[in-house]
Amino acid sequence: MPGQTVFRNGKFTREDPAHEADAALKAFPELAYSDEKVDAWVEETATNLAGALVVLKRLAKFQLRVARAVAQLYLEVRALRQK
Amino acid sequence: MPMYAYDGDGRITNAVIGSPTWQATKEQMGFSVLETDEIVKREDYYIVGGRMAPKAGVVLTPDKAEIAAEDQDRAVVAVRVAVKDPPASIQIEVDGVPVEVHLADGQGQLPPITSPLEHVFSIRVSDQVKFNDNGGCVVAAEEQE
Repeated sequence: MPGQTVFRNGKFTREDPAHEADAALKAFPELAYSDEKVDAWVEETATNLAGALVVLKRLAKFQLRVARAVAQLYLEVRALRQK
Repeated sequence: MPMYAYDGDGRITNAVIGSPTWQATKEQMGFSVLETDEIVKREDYYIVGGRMAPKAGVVLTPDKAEIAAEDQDRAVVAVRVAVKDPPASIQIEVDGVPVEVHLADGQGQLPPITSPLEHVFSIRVSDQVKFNDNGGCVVAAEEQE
């Protein structure tokens, strides 16, 4: 099986960098986008006001996902420090 | 008479009705040989100070044989060393990763086992010479549908 068993933070667990990369991509598929791909998409989509709104909404939703992930990480780190 | 060849750690490697020739061959290979009228099972004994000693039985019991492959589920393995004067601690390995488990009256428990991935964890006593864990135990992390 891929990965390795480690003893960390007082428990045994299994780690696999490939699995963690997959998990990150699932949460943020934008990680797979290149700058060129983003440029092309914006230029193809924001050709009128409706298209510009589509781009803005997608950007806002992305920022919300980032905020949720950061908040979750903050709470987990705080909980770890309190142990 | 039975003869038992053993290595530097006391691990019995062969048990035969031997001969001086067999003994000499084993000693040339770097093993020691004990000749005794005791007939024992290799997996239950080891040799220390030139004498047979019974291995201490260790029972490893997980509270769950299966956990979900996500970080929230966990299994805890209880450790029991079944001897008259148990040690104060014993080293246990999870997939070869060692941890010292403190014992009170021969009983203790491992830190929790958890996994975000599918995997079968193998738990065994590190010292397989002096202890007999009967193959140890396993904890399986399974994807939940």
